[in-house]
Amino acid sequence: MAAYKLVLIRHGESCWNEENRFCGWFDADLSETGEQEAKRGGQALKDAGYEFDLCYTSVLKRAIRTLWFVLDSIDQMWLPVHRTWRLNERHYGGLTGLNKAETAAKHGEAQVKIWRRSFDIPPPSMDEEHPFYQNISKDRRYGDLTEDQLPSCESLKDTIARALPFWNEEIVPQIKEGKRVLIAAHGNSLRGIVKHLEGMSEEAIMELNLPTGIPIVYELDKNLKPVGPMQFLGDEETVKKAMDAVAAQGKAKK
Amino acid sequence: MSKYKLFLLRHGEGAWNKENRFCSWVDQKLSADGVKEAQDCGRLLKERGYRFDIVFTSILSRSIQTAWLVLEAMGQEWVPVVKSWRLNERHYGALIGLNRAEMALQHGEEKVKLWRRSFDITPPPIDESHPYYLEIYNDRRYTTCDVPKENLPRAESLKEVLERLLPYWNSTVVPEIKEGKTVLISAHGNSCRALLKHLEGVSDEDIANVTLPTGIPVLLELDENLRPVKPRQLLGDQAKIQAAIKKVEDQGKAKTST
Repeated sequence: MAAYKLVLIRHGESCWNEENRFCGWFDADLSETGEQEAKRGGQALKDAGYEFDLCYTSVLKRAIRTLWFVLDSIDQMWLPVHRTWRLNERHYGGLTGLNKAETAAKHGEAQVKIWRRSFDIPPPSMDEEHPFYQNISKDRRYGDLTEDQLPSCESLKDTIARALPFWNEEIVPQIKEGKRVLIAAHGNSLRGIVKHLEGMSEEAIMELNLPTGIPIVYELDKNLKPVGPMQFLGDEETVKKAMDAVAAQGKAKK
Repeated sequence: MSKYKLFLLRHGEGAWNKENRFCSWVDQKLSADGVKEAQDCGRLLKERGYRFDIVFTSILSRSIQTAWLVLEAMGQEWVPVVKSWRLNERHYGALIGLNRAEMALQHGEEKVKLWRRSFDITPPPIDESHPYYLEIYNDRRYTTCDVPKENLPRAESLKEVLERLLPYWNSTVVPEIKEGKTVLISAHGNSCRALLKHLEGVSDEDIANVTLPTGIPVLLELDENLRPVKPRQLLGDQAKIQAAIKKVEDQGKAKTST
């Protein structure tokens, strides 16, 4: 019998996803599609009658606005919301702003492949010359971060290393107090939580692409171990598509 | 010389504002016009270059929705938003859901004005027979307050609003201001008025004549003791502001047609 339920939601398409650009810490907004995804996700939670006590999100608008759409749909706008940079998307360093073709042209296909396949090799740093350096590194929202905390780039390993302390120190105690938690965040920060919950290997987590805009439900025992695989909420077709897509990822040709 | 900046904002039009009904603790979202009011307010604040550090709202959706729309327009969605019932609109008791114009016809404009604008006259309390009683008191949000549900108000005068607002102001908002944070309070007509009365030292009689228009940000510049160093500023186009004030004042007047 599950002691706790946890719901995660990965934000939908952003304006930069549309353009196929590495987004990372750039504060891109949701595209219209992304807004629709968030509303659908909210509707799925509403249809299933979900109630929450507490919400967590990053400091990037695409995640925050996704959460807002959801809270509006389920009529729980009054819930407390905690925002943290620790749930931000992975910082793509010098690749931020580049699209797929530009990246390959600039760094070569081989190097791109290494970054894509690696758990712990970070992309090049975002230095002061980078067009988005001021916009990101000097943003007021990161004013309280120490020099050590503010990344100039991250590997997936780095992302997980700064997300997990927040999970362990802030979120876990709340879950253990019986609070029903909703986390609206990004592909890679949520991977950190999923990897930890399921005890997945580095290879396995790199294979996993969480579906967007679809509420992901974990039932957890009193030690916060999942009692079963993650469940997706939505209409039958949406859920099946998401499940098939996830299943196919492991089989994708490299 | 002002040390601190505090912004108060009364949310824009909700569906019931449009119908001239006392909405109070009934949870309504903004109307399309109310959404626009909030967005316009956000754009204005963005143009003027204001940067918030923290936002306080009530636990009624319309004030939260207003805060979200303002932050969105300013690109400051990341700013923390803290919610409390202590910033809720005044509880209008048995008058909740009644149309102001009908009330004015039944009880006279003066009595309605008294209930709306007096400082310490409490309207009759809401009870279980009231059509909106369950909608309010069965709502889960009222089990999350720092006061047990049975002790939450059943009706309030403006004085009583201030009594439940002030402890929150002192314990939670003031420390943020004193840390130099630029604070936005996105709330309601009467919770904003109560706070203004306290900050500006408005008398019990004069507060009756203070009307806050919807969707217009109010800037208070405060000294180190949180006393205003100049009169409150309603930001934006002055003609628009005057029209907005008149709109609120007209709501209290009786209508002979429906």
